[in-house]
Amino acid sequence: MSEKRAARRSRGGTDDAEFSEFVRIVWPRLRRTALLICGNPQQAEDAVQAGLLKLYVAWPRLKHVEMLEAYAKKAVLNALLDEARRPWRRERSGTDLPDTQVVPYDAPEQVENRIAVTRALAAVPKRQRAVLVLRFYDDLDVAETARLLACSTGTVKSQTARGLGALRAALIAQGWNEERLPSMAAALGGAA
Amino acid sequence: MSDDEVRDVLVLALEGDDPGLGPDIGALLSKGRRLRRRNRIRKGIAAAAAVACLVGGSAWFTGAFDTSAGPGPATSVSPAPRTASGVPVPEASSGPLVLDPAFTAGDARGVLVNCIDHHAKAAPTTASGDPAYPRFTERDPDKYRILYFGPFIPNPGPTTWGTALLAVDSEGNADYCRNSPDGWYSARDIRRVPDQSAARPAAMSVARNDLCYPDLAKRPQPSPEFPFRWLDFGRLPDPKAVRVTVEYGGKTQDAALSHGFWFAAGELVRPETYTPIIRSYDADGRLLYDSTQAGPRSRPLS
Repeated sequence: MSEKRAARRSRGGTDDAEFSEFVRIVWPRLRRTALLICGNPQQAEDAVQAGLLKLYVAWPRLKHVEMLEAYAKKAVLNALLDEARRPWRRERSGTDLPDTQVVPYDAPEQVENRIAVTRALAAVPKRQRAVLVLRFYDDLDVAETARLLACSTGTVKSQTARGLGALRAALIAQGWNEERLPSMAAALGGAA
Repeated sequence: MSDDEVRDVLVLALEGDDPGLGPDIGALLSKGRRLRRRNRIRKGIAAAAAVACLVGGSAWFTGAFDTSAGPGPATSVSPAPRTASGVPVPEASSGPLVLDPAFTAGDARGVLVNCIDHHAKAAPTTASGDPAYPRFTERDPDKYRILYFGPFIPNPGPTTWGTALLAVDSEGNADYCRNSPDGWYSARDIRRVPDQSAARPAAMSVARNDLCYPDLAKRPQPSPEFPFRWLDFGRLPDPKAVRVTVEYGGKTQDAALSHGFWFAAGELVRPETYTPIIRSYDADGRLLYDSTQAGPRSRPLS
């Protein structure tokens, strides 16, 4: 009995070390994806933490190492999209959390561009935004995106089209025009 | 829009994002272990209930039980004992470290009990079937230290509606709870109480008309509406510290100290580009700790 317990404890320690290493590697990627989808750094980190927590609980049972990040991403997406449905998330109580960050040494036009795209993204319905982020930021194909969002490939395609339309309309509402995007790309190049 | 244009937009939206120090893996593992333990207990109860059902069912079938007595007393399962991991175990609550004068220590304790009850009754899984994020997992109110109790909206009502509570358990997990008309809920998870000796990141987040959370991984947020309220807290690793000052928004104030924790709150009237600067002193006034010296991230950004 004690040998079994020792073996389990030893396994637990290995699990924890492996899990910690995994978290260190995937945290930045998951956080960026979550941040693009929810637009709020704290909510993004909460969702990543909740997703990783779920993964930790299931960790001893997970066998396909190559799928770990996909599991984690799915758990984070569930947390994000589920959180959005919670009543207390909808409640504001006079609180209006800022939706983007300002880096003090940024040039004003960079800040302006970033605020414009952040607001435009926020105007896209969350599910469509998730599809856009997975397709165009995480570079996932339609099938992988469908698997992560637990929907059909047809839904992913239609949500992509609608999301792109919504994003374009929102950018135009933010004062963006056809000439502005190249300036954003230039700003990106300048920042890099 | 072309695919590349969409990618540009997404990349631009992330530009300037500061990922901070990354996750608190220790806290994540600690919560994960608790969640695993809770699941094991729940599964054990479910298995026991299933066995009881089977036994009860067969007894009912054979007429062996007298069902007229009604249900027996409910049994409860105590959480497994926990050990403090380097954090002083909060003493039986002797009142909040910081208490808004409009309220009493009794109000604060009542709210803490409500918060714990609310989360104890919360569904163990979310709507999508995932495990719910554990909050206020320590069920004994005496195991918490209330760091702050006060309003989170400008003019709370005659009852304790509109109040917020910040409490830390014996493992250093801080939970923040505020009430709403339809019940109590936790506004967000604050993770572990930051250790004063750790390098402090560059800033904190802000929120209009609400408390500002000690989000240590953030740079200042944009265009907040002023004034806004902020709070910051931590624990004192050095027992010699008898005074802690917090400098923020051009003002320096003494933090409240108790039971190994410090806490400060205030109001900003203009944007700031650095985190609160924390300094601690011993009884002779000697500087023990200065967060501006703790690492590059703790220094002002401008």
